Amino acid sequence: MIRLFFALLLTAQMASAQDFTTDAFGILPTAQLGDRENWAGLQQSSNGGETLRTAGRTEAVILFVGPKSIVAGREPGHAVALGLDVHGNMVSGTQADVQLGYGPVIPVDTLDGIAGVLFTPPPQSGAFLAGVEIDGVQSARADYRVSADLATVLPQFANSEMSVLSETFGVIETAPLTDAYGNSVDDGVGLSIVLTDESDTTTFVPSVVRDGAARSVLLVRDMAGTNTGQLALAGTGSGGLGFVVDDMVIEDAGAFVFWAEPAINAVRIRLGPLATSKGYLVPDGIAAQVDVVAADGTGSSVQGWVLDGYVTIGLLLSPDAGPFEVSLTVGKTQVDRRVDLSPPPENLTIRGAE
Amino acid sequence: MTRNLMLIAVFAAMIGGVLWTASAALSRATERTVTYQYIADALDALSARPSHVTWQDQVSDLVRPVTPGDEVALGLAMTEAWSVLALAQSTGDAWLLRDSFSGVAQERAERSVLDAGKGGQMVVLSQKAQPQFYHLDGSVFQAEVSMRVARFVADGDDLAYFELVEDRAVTTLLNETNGWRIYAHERTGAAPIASAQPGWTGAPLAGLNYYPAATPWRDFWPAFDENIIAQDFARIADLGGTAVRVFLTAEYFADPDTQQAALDSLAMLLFLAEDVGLQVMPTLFDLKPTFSPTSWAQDYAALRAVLPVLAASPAVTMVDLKNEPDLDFEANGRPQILAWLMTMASLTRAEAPELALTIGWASSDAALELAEILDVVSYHDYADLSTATARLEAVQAATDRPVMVTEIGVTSYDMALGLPSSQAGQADDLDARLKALAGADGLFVWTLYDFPNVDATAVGGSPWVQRLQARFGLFAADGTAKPAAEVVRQAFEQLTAIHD
Repeated sequence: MIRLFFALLLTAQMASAQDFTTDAFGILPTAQLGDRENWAGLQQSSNGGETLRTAGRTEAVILFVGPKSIVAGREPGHAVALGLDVHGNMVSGTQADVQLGYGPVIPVDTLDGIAGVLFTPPPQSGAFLAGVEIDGVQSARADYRVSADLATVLPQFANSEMSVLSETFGVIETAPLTDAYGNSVDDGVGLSIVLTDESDTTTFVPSVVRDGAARSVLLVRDMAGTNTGQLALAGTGSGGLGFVVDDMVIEDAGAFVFWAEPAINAVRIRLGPLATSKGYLVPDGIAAQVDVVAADGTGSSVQGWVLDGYVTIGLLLSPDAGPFEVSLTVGKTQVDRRVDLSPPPENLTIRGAE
Repeated sequence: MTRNLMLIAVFAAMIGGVLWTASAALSRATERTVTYQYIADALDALSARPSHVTWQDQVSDLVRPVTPGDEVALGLAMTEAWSVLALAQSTGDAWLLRDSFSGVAQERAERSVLDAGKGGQMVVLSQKAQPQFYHLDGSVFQAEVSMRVARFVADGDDLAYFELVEDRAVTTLLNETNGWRIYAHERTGAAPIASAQPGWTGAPLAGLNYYPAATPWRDFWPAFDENIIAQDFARIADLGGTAVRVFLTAEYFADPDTQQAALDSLAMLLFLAEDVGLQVMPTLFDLKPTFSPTSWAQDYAALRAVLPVLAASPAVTMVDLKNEPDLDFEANGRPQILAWLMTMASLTRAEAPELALTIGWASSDAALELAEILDVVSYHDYADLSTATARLEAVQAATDRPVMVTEIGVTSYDMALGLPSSQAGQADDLDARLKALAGADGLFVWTLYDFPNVDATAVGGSPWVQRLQARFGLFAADGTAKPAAEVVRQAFEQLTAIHD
């Protein structure tokens, strides 16, 4: 036999003589409800009674507007107001008048305590203040920003050609950056500049928008020749920039020192310190070509690079074959000298590699 | 002569005292020698809390769709919030609420914790949510929620009030710096959860409590071997048994990592029982580690997973909701245990109305607890043999439900000279108890086998108790029948013959 019972019968069996009230957050003796009597919503009594209480008049309004940065002419915004009565209950079914900082007031009814307005901001960028009023109660102001639509910005360099002296600071500037509505790109927006030289070696220059344009300064020391520059902002590239850097000139090639490595019947050579016409050491990593011809007609050519201002290499030439005619080529500078064997330099530490 | 007998008695008492002291010392020493390599090993593992929110289709005009990722984040927040509130109400620690509630909801949750000192608690067991509003920037969310909620009031050791209802509510959450928090929660309706009480009729059950000999307690399900189960069930049937009582380890059936394997094994066990004509009394939530309100939602989730398997099998005669819950009264409080049992019983009724229910109380003293919501009254009888019949008759007189004794048993552990028991003594005592309780609607003997490896986490660290527990079987671990097996065979024959 199936006997049907319902939970209410069960609860009746468990109920004591005391009356209890249940609400959204628990249960307690009815006699001790206190201000829980003011909570909107359903309260049930263990004696079978129930109360469905609604919120009172609005006493406080909270406004949320977002997203905090809205793209001009493209993205919508959302203004959301919560109306609360004096006990914190959410007020439903009343009209909220929403002012978005432009245009007329928008009336909307609260539902389950929330009034929401989806809006399309004006195409002009800037900061806006919004407010809402429910039952004559004004919310605190909420701010939101409308920013330039980066997807419609066509980034351009301020100049299409520029020439920079070697070992000086080159300044690359963009033209004013504006979107399709003429709004300037906000300060702090990042963009990138890529310079590509004749050998397809690239130099990446990060930049940041300030006052509607970007400006980057870079020291040109090892990028001689014609470079092509390109801007990239929010996925949009610019036209090319001709960026010409003068060649580096070696003013002083320092000493050329040859010494023997008798164990392997070879010689080692150190050239430098190499100083530029601006008085600086030639930067590390610059390529150097060394061509040597011995007195007996044997010769050797090696390509190395500069480290700490020196070029240090080993040559498979007999130490007895000297003197040697040495030709050092760095960039477009060539230095020729005749060199005899000598003791190795004092405190020699060879860190480089040929 | 008398003097010699006195000397022997004194000597025996001294030996007994020395052995008892040594046993206790060994027990303490055993406990002290538990070492851990890492502190974390000594602590209970913190499992990631699953969401207990089921999402329903969102309304079509949301300005921002609720993505599956949103459902996970919001579901966890809503689950955690009510779990934390239940914990706060049970402990009185309102500071726990700050990470889960804000605004007016925080004030009300804190107030409810203060009022819970008067004995009232609320536990949210499940939630179904339908999104109603979602701010475009993902900062404000609102849903209509249908939630199963248990509310109860403790009055000293008594449960003064209990209800299990389906609340309807509107829940509003704000996405704040530390994640989603409930900002407002308004209850808009409530309805009782209908449940059926099918009752139980049938021939008296002649049953065995069952674990495999080599894998008792927690090892049973992870090491489930259908070949061994089949052999053992055939042995029970051969003994004249008509039923088997098995234990579903709480954690193994609740853990998402093991649950599917557990359910598959359970279905196989029920099939094997049906195959040899055995009825099954599955005992749920065995070795459940806590009755904290924070665990109730997870218990309900486990119930929802297990009950369809049980309901689908004709072998299941009834469900034993919990083994010996009265032993948890002292640690957890009687009202909380009763509220938990009533909650799980009502939810079981709602999920599987055709399944009969019982609770395996540890003694006849507790047998009538919650009898009015059960189909069968059951208890365990290890108490004084001379009053066993009187206890059974007293329980039967106090209820119109069938009364079963689902655990009786005697150890055969023989330390020396037949003390404290022996195989012959086990058979004699078991015979006497079976006869004393022959009027029950079901008798289940503990247990089919001796257990060479007793689970210390189930029976405790005492070597003495472990040795006693290891020898309750009708069969030795190698399958050799002990004299008690024949006693039980005869008793089962008589028990089933009475009905025939």
